[in-house]
Amino acid sequence: MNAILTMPEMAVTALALGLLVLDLWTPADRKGDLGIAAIGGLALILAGSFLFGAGAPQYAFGGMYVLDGMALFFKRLMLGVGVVALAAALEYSKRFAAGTAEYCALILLAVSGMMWAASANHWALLFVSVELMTVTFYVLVSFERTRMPSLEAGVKYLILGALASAFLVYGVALVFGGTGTLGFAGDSGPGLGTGSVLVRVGLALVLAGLGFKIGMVPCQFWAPDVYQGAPAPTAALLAAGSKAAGFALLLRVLLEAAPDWALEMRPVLMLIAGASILYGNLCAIPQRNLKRLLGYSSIAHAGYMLLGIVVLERAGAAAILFYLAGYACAVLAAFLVAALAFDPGEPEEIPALAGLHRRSPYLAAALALSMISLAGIPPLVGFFGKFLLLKGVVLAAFDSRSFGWLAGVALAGIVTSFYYYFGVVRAIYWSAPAAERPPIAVSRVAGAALGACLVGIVAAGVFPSPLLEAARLAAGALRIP
Amino acid sequence: MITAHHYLAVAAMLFGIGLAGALTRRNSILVLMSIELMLNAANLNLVAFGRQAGWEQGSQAALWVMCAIAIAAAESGVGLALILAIYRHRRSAHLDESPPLKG
Amino acid sequence: MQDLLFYVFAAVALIAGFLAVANPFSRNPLASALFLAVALVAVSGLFVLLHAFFLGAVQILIYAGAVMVLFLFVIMLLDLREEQKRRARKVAAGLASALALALAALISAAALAGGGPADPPALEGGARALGRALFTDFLLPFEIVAVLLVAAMVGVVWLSRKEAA
Repeated sequence: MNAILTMPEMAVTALALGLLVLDLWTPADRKGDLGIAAIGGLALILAGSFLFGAGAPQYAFGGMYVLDGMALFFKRLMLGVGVVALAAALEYSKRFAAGTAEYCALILLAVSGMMWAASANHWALLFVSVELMTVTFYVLVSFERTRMPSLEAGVKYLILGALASAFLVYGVALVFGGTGTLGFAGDSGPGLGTGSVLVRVGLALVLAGLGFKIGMVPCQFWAPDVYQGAPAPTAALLAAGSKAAGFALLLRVLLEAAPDWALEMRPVLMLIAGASILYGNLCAIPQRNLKRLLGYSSIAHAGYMLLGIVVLERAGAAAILFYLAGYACAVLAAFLVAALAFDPGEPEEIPALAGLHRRSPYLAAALALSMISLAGIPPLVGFFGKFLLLKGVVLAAFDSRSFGWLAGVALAGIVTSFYYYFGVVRAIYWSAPAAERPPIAVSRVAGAALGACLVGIVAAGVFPSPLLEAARLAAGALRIP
Repeated sequence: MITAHHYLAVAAMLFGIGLAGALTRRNSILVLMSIELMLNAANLNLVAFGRQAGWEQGSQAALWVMCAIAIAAAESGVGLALILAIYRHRRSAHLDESPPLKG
Repeated sequence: MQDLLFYVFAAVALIAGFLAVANPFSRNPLASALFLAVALVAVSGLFVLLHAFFLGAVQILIYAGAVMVLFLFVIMLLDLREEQKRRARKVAAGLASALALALAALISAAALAGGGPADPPALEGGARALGRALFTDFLLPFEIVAVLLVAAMVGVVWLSRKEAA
């Protein structure tokens, strides 16, 4: 048994449990140190994950768990996201009367769930890792228990999430009935979805369940409310981490386990992608709340990333990985600013950002850069990611005309999104504040985390080749039959 | 003669009843209960298929169902704690009275 | 005999399940919870008919026991009565029910289309074999579920604790 392969996940879980235990003996005024320790520990695990080479896929626990290049890429991404989210949490939890250690421990547990999901090669591991992530998120979303919007967002996420897991379980039950096994059977047999009606309907239900995690169109209702109501660090983790885990599983299921079914369902997937792009972008236009706007824009970004799935090739998967890394940097920076720039209890209204460049030039520049990257303006990372995704669709359009409209919809969506992203930039730099407000002090930890995101946005945009190479290598590990 | 199909039909109907309840009821506790019904339908499906698949795979299905029951219990526990916390703020457990999150 | 028991348990599960989500006689959540408990017990009867004896016991102990007690406890604690005064929105309810029925029909059709042997081999082994498999083949999911329960417990304690101030 290759249990050593699971070291990173085990270490994250141990860190979370250790944090909970240490919390018992830590005096109230020293709780911040626990958060620093958690950040340090997670960064150490991230560094340690580079000891694993991306060689041939290795299996553990009877083939249930796979460690290949793609799993490793996703794990590093999730660990990085976790470090930034912890930094945001440390800053944000000054608003709570207590609970810093619990908040950080739950973030770590959610990250461990995402990492298990990245290695899932069996329906049972897929299910329990997704549930570990989701159940932890129910609490993380509603963690500000004295603030009503946070609790309401929690209930909304819980009910829709439980509904999604019911679909997922039912779908897996049907797939099990059709194939007689709970394994993915990706690398040995001909893959799922060859023939049986049970498997086809089951996979459709699984798609609905996983679609909830990424926020694609028929399962997107939770996104704006939950992003708005949740504490900003939770929303950051939800946007960058939960979406990444959802895409890791979608890539595994659609490209590795059930490629035939994915080919058969391609028109539906294209429709979902187009509808997500249009819905997310059009609904984001009238929004005044920064976090709600990011919620709608996350639906649109899920649509862009689905473009990489509908081409059903390794190049598309590589584009998704690249895009996810860039999206994570930009959206983490945006939520970090949302955590820092507003007073406790103040709704995150965009007009309230007026004069931010005088209150804190650093935060203003960070939010502006993040918005420009999300909009996809060169030379930032968002541009290159969108270019890669669109390139795949346009190339596919030469083979089959039906891809043409999808490329058109995606372009229209991108152009529409300029309007609301620049609305935020305009609010920061070109609108007069209603009242003079005091400057914002950015702590060293939060400043460093924000700096890391900004370096990612700029560096991966100007020199995309290292990240692109890593994404290609990771997607090369996909066992596409 | 009762075959696996009979069980699958019962499970599908239970799932439908649960889904209809989850979509129509406004009381969040009743919605949670409807979702429990859906999860039970899925479990019934797995057990029926597991019996059909024989011992080796059937035990996998049974173990899955045990995990699913534990997770469903955890989910409803968190859900009820959340409903309690909301009830402290506002004396109601209905989903549609949330002005801050409308639109 | 077993065929008869199947029809009894199936009918009880379906009728009690229906009464739990849409009771035409009473809109009291307490009645719904009790009907749900009946439905869960009937499902455990179906488990037993499928030779999943241990799961039948787990179903009664955890679902019909622990989970339903939790539901009843919260319903009684909150003293939910307003539900009786409310009217479900008819059109939305009809649409949702139609959608759910269509989905159920689709799933049943899929289930009936995917054939199988009419007389399956008996599922051997009770708790002992399941326990062994749980700690060998299924060790990883089992441990992750354990971590999940810790996370849920921390969350529940945090959410239901009264604010100190």
